[in-house]
Amino acid sequence: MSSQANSVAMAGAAGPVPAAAGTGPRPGLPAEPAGKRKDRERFQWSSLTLLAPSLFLLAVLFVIPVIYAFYLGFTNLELVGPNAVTWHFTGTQNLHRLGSDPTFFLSLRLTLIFIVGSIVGVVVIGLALAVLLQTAVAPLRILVGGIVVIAWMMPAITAGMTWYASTTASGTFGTLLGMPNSDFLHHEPLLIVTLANVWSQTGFAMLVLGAALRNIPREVLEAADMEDASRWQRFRLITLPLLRPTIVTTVLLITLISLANFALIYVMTQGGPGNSTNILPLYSYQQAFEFNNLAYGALVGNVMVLICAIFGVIYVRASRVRT
Amino acid sequence: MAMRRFAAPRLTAVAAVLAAGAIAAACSGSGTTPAASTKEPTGPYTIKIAYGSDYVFDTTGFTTKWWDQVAAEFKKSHPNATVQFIPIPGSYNDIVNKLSLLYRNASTAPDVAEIPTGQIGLWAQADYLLPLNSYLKSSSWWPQFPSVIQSEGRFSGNVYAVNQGENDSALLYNEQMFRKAGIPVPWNPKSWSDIIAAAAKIKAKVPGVTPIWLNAGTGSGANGLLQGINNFIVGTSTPTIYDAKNNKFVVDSPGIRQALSFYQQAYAKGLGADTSALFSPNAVTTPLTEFQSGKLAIAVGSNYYGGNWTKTISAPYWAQAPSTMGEAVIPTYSGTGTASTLGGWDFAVAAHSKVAKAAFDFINIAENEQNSIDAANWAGWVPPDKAYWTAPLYTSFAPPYNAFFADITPSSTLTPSSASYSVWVQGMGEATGAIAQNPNTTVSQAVSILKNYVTSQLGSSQVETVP
Amino acid sequence: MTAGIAAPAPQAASGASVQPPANPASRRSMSNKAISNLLLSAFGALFVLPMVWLVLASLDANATWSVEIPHLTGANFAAALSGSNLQSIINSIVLSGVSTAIATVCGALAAYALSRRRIPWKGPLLLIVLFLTGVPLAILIIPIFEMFSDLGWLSILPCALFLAVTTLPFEIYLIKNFIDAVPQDLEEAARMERAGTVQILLKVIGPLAMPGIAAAAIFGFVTAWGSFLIPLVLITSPNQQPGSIAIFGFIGAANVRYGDIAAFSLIYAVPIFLLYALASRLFRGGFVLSGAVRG
Repeated sequence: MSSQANSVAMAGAAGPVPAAAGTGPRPGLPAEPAGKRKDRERFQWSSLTLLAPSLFLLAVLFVIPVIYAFYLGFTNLELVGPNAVTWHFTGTQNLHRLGSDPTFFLSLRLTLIFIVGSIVGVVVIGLALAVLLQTAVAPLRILVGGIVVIAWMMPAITAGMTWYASTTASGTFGTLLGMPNSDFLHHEPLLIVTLANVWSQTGFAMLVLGAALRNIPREVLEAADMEDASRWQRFRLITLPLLRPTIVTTVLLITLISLANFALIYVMTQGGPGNSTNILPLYSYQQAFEFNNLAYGALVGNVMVLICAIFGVIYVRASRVRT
Repeated sequence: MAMRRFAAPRLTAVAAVLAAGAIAAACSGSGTTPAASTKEPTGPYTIKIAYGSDYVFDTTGFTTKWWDQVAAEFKKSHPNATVQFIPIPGSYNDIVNKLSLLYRNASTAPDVAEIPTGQIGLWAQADYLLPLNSYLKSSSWWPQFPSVIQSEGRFSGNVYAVNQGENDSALLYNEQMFRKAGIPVPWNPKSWSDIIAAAAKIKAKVPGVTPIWLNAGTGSGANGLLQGINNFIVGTSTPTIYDAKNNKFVVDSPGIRQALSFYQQAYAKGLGADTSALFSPNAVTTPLTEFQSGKLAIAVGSNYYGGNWTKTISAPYWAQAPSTMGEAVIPTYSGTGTASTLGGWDFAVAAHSKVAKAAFDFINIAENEQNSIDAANWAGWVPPDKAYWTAPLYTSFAPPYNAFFADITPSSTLTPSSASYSVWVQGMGEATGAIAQNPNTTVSQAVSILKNYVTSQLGSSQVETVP
Repeated sequence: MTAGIAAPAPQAASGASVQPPANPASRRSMSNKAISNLLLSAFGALFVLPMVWLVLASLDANATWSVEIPHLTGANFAAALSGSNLQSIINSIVLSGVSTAIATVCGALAAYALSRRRIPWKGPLLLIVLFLTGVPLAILIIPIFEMFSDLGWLSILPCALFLAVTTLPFEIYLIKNFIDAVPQDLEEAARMERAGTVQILLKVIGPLAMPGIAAAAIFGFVTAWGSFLIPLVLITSPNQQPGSIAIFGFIGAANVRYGDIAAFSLIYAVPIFLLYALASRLFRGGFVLSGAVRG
């Protein structure tokens, strides 16, 4: 207990005690007895005041439009045209169309590859960077950390343009690899686009995992040192399990952000060549705003929300099973 | 404590009211629909004018200059009016999307809007636009529009939009490179194989330049087709892309095959540009700079090229353009005529505009000789009124291009204005993109890419094959 | 707690200089350090690679997509800072600043309540908050536009409000996880001293959770800074448009001024970088995510 308090009192920016040590009312006490606890918090009305601004804003400006947009997926609304002003509910008609739309299934497949690739790239590289940053000399740490974070903060439009310029003919990649006329982007579009996404998301993971690393109690690591464990063993058997909650959360957040990543890919390829980078957010936009099928685009958007829900459930399960 | 008890219900009530209002407004569309006016309002009024601020004219600066110029002239004869501009930034899609949103509500719909030719039919069908027939009866410029330009705004017998400026296409080539390759100048290809032959000679005799620029891929959208393969399709014996009578899109026809075959030969011989340039977001305008830096020999180009090489528009500009660049019409497949697409921007008035008469007066002023030719010069258009084509203000602006492209206009062909045209655009973009990326693609493979994609999106009842 | 270990002084995260190694284990750790520094540099070089074009093009008088030796000029930066472009950067600062302020304040309050208080249906509520983060914004545009235009809210401040709402779920989630990790002893001590909720928030939770709040604020700011679609739809007046839209002024129908775009992008990145430098003192390079959508 005292060491926890000490670590909190120390340069407050070092971050508080990690959750692995246990959050909730009383870490270290025996499990709660069944039945209503008398010393548990009861619902306070002041909680409502705290929640009210967020709930109000979310309900009116987000939840209701989302429900409306969800409903739109089952209508025949168009952006322009006869069905732009007078439109109606069409039941499962759009669903039937979705079920037999090869471009949709292609888009689904591409999206999953994109997300999985992004997760693997971001977590592995983010973790590697976080570990390396811990033992780096100060100037290098500031420089490399800064570069990675700038990549994260760059607006998607700029990031897209720089990656387009770098991976097409006479770009940075080609020139450095001695193949200045190679068009990497259009030969391996999904790969390059995934790399671009990893590049722009890794900064976030690096920050998060870095803080989690820093909060692993020193004693635990030193105990492993005493057992004369190799660095790799120590990492695999001690550090990784302690980082697990953070990694799982990062995976979920990267999934959500990548799934919504429209601007980056739109600037780079507009979903092409052909449909090879037409992931769900782009396909939804294409249907709604380029093909005029607002309702069908909304349905594809609904699928995106469904995927988020599935990932969310997986995440909740994963974070319940804990050592 | 008591206050907090009430807070929750009150919040949800407000939210429900707001939400209900939003949904009701969305469902019912535009609420009350006042009749269009035929007279200018007596008191002070506001007239809303929407236009693309970055994408339509050659530069943002000229956009503001032209619209301010017309507004100033309008205010002289309409002192009660306040002109409220709604400039729309971004590119083609952004303009169309923003306008679509603005039109959904009568209170936000712009009284005068600058809309692309290809969208007129859609918006007329949605009842967004006011028929202008009665106003046009008394206009002096309308009868001077060639019939093909008049027809672009005509749907179900009504005219919903009048043209502001047109783009058409021709072959632009570098005369010096042609001389070096031993091709006689001025160049007058009589068939598509003539074009291929010339490009092949360039490749052999003039190393280090791209022989011919042919727009391909999905990145450039409808514009890429307008300044690309569509020019060839409309020059065949089966130029139809959209069969309006049966509401079907043509996905296979001799004309489409001939055009794709032309592309296939060009790319198979290595005469086209590489994919990095072709698939870039701004591919359609790349030939402009490629010509200037001497890296391109031939392009299927558009009439705005010439203006962009002049000092007025660009800095740095290309003074040697008129003496370096030659122009030739695209021959039809049979070699007997001129092939070109036609498309541009038009003026339209909102269907329920409260100041419709004033709106049309604004358009009237915009179409007078000075303003129309200024627009043409600063946006790279052919003015719709054919009487202006011989005006010195126009012909001396970017000689000889302006006059040359004006002459092509009457024989050019409009592109479809149907909702699903963008699906066909995507399909054809994929087909040409496949050819450009992999020159071993056969014509049949390219056609099946087009056919499969359009059929999967629109259903087989909306596509047809012309034998 | 700390067993006696015959090891050299533990390496501080600040990377203080290391004494010459006295034993094999330390020597090994020194060469390990050299390797990790090398690896880190390699990563750094890889990450900086795409930015090379940006810098080169911004200084190039004839910039194109290709990477080439620039014809040096400052004209691109001059154009990027001209009249309306400078105004757009100021608009961006206003837009993102207001959006972040709203989202972070509302989010922190809600996060505290969700972390510490008993809320009915807290689990489902948190899950819904999470899922909202995944909704594609392009589809929301239609109902939002209609709502805002009916209310006459097509200008910069209401747009900031909507941007705040789009980042709110994520910020709540982030700050809540951070507050979760703060031990409750201090709050209970404060409550025993009869401190009210406001005082607890300001004096206890605030300082301890500041790294997470700062991180959420930066996330909100960066998201608003880069957003394009929403300001395009919700802001009608041209002199209220933010930088992410002004960049299109360099992309004309007939020519694209790559050099200006690159220069403007670099300038556009400066305010965020400054913000990060300022705020990184607050979270010294990291924040804790313990995860768990738990009650």
